[in-house]
Amino acid sequence: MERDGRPMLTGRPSPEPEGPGSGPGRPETSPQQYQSPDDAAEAQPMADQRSAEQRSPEPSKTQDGARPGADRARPPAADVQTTSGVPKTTKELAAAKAKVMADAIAKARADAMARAKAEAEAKATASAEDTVVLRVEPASPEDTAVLTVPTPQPPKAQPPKAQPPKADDTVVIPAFRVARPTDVATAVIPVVPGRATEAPHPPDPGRAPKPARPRREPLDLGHAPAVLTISALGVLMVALAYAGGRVGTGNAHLAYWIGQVVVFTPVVVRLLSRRMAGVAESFVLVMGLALNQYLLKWMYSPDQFRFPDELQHWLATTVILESGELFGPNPALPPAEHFPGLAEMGAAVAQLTGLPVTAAGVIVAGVAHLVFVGLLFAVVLRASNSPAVAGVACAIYATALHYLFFNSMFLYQTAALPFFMLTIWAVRRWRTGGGPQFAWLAVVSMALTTVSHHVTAFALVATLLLLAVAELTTERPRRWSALIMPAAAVAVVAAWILLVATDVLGYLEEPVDQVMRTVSQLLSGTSEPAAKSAPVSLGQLAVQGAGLLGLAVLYVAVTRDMVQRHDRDWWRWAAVAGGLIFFAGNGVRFLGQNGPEIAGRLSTFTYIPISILAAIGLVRGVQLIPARDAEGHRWRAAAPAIDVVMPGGWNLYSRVAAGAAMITLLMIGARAGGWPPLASLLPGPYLPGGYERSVDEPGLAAAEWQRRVLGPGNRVGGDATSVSLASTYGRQDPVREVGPLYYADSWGLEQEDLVEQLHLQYLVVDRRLGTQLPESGAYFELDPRSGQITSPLTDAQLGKFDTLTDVDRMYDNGTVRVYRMGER
Amino acid sequence: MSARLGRVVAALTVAALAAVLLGHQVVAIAGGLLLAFVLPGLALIGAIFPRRELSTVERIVLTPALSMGVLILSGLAIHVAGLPIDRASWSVATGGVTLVALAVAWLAPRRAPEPPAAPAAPAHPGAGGAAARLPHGAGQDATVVISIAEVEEAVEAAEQEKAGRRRLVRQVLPLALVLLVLGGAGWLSFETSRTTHDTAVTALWAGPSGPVDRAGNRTVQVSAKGLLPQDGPYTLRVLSAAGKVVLTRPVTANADGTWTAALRLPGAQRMTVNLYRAGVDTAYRTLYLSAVD
Repeated sequence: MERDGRPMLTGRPSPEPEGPGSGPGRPETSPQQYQSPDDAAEAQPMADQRSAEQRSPEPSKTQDGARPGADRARPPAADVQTTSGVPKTTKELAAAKAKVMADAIAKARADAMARAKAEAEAKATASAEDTVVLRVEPASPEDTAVLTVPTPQPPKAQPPKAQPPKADDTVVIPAFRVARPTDVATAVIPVVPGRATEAPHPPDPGRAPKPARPRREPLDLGHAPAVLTISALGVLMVALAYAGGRVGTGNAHLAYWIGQVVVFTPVVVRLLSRRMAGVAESFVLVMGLALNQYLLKWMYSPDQFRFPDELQHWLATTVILESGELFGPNPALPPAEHFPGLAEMGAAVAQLTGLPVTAAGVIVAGVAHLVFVGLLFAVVLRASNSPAVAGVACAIYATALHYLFFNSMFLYQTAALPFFMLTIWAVRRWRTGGGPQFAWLAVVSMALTTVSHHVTAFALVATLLLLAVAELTTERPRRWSALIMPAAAVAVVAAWILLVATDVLGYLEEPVDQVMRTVSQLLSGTSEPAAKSAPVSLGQLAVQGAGLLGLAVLYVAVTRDMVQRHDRDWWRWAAVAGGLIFFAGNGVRFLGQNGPEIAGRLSTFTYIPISILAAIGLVRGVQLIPARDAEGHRWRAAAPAIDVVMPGGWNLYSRVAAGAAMITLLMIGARAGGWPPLASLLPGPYLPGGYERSVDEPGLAAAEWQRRVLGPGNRVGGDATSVSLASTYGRQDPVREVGPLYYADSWGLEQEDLVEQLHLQYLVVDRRLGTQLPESGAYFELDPRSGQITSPLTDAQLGKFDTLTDVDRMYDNGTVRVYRMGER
Repeated sequence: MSARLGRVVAALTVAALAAVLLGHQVVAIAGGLLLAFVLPGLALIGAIFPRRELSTVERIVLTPALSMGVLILSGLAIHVAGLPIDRASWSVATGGVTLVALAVAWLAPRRAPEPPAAPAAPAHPGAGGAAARLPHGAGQDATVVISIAEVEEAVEAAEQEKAGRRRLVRQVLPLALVLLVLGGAGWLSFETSRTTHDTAVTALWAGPSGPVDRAGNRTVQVSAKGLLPQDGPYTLRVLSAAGKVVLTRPVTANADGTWTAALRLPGAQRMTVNLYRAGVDTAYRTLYLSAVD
């Protein structure tokens, strides 16, 4: 709180609702919270944020105008909230602290009054115990404490130095620094004995005031360096596993899984331990984990991009470098032409540093990924005011299906995600009293998201709309300005799509149709013949299901807690709604061929709210099954658990262990069910239909030959990898519908017609298609036998092109052959 | 943004621009990364949020985020302006935005001065001369101002220094070890990936057939790449549709393992071009060239 330029604490009891979190069921912050060293660690960032807020007051949203002088005595509504629905704005944090002191004084006063009464009978004088020792951290930004003491009934015998009771029994304690910072400054306040009206509980005479945790040094990283050292050893172990996979060493898979756990779990345990130094340690842990996990992704294919989508964006970047212009044609991924954000950044880094496009792309994707995680941390920290909740939420989000690969690859979604989260953060700051610069930043971030990726832009519109609806539903009085940002997002996205990226609707039509077909199949209980899902092991299903079950339990517990507390925080209710969408999306995950793909893409966005809710549940120790109340009701009026400090001892250890186990299980499930597929978790020799595992030197050499000898723009068909390489390194126009030409046992009129229909000029045939079944269940991008292939292609199927008198085999490297199919 | 930080950012910007435009590759990498991910965002934070509205975490993450935004918007602006997107334009755009933002941040205090300091309350006798200011409307009559008693310093300077050293060792050494381990893991992965994928590929190919001359022959450029000395000398044999050898030619690879020759082949026949390794009768690579109409 700030008054006259100096911060202070206030402990005035406020009968009026003070914000969205207040209400009949609102819990009051207990004094025990401030006696806990753990909470002291969490409270410190609040003070840090508060001090930053106080230097720049934000417009107050407080509706407390009933009491004269209240507005002046209260600070502007700062963007600091608890997980309990009680916005821990500066004033309330100060009020809570002051209330503790006031309560202590009141208790002491009551005790002293009772004692004085007894002593008066014994004709004794007031003892030395008529004092309260307040310990105030001198470095706290609140240099002044205003204590409101409950007005006692007029005592029979007024103490000699007592102030006459007036309208206000306020004690103002200016705690300005009078000396160099010390650990604890002590104020001895004599308590005047008087008559107690309602002494709640006598203080425990045997309990000495618990000293506050010593303030950490600035930039104290706590145990983060040591924990990250262990995590780095996990990275090394995975690197060894990758190396073993490349040369076919046994036990490489075991090393991979151990490494993944070593990378991940120590950080999670530390984040859950609630003994962190504060924001710095939590932030370093989260960013260190994100960096380590990004390295895991990079080390899978460190020397070049191999995933088809990354190659497509490599081409987009290269086209900018070669042409010096944006919006150049990209035959590998035509819609990317109109979403040049990633390619621009890649081109800028490549040209500014002189690095090759691949290296520039790795750097851009890595920075974008880390910024996304950092912004997620900042958003959750703002919303929860707890570095532990923010850290655990980021750790849980790291178990999203696509987190480790699709959200950190050199793809345009990776470039858009940081601006997506930047928009959310800026909107949050704006809606909680930030200045107009936050609103402008949000609009610019919307534009950056829109020019970077279409689906992320749509998700941004949906997210902003959800937040606005949640705010309008929970906040009273309604602030219709909540609709400004969704409207702005709709306008920005619509303008870009209607004026620039006009082809994106057609591009997205097929995936949308797929989603609709999948939903229709789910509802009708039918499935297309070619829509069989790839077999998934029971173990994998069990791991993923157990993790999801854990999330569901936490989701229900936190939601139940919010309902019972009449929570009015619209951010948390938006998260509850987002969590519902997450679970609905995960229903698709286990059904249908496109299920994992759709669920994975959805989870990029829907996993954010469920991560936040799960983090609240784990960090705050929300009771899964509430204890019975005094009347024996378990569910009707259970004590609000969300703000109760997690107990220590065995209970704490068991909770940390259970939470860490659940998050680790989620991570294992995500790695097993995410990308790359389980059978190609490790890099290694060629696999047909294995995406990165299908890219090796023979394919690359053939693609390079196409670019150099054939020239760009020819219609080239082939299996999924051949087409990918031809359209990127080869600069050819890809033809993806050539599967029937390969599956035919002989060449006939039907095949001739298809060649003519597709305007096919060249066909790439990889002889290794006849050696193994496709890893992905399909040899071709548009494979008519996807999911139904029971045997590899035969030599006759692959060799029939040699017998065609009008077809030239123009290229042969022993593995890959290129045939000229069309006219010369 | 403090004036000192502003000067540092300005100096770094000029140095980075010089490094990118004039410097060696290594220096250009450092300068380019600064211009791409750090300096524009740092300057923009100072310009947009001059009153320290952001926490440290927010400043850390907003710096690269805003810098990346500058890259995207700069690229669009360069494109709209019809200028080529190259190193010079990126340098001007990122450096220009940084310097302009610094100028705005420098002017910001003049545009929006800080609110005047509040009047000080009478000094409390026990407050060591420091001024205690009372809040307005706090009920002066019912207010007791109690100063916090000064306590002795608990930590001596030497102990502080010792604690600082301990902290440095406790935090920096593990972080250095982290970088070392990560660097080693990265090197291991890069090297194993490069070596396992860096395999020689021997390819034989033909260019498009030329027109058929009066003698009924056509000219075809046949080339090879990745010829290994240990497999040589290679031999090229051309067979007619009937399987008759119409041409045999030794293949002498260049130092880089390549070979090329223009072959005159019958135009009316489908020809088979085989490449053989030394001492091996099975064709190593094969091409089929259809007849030319």
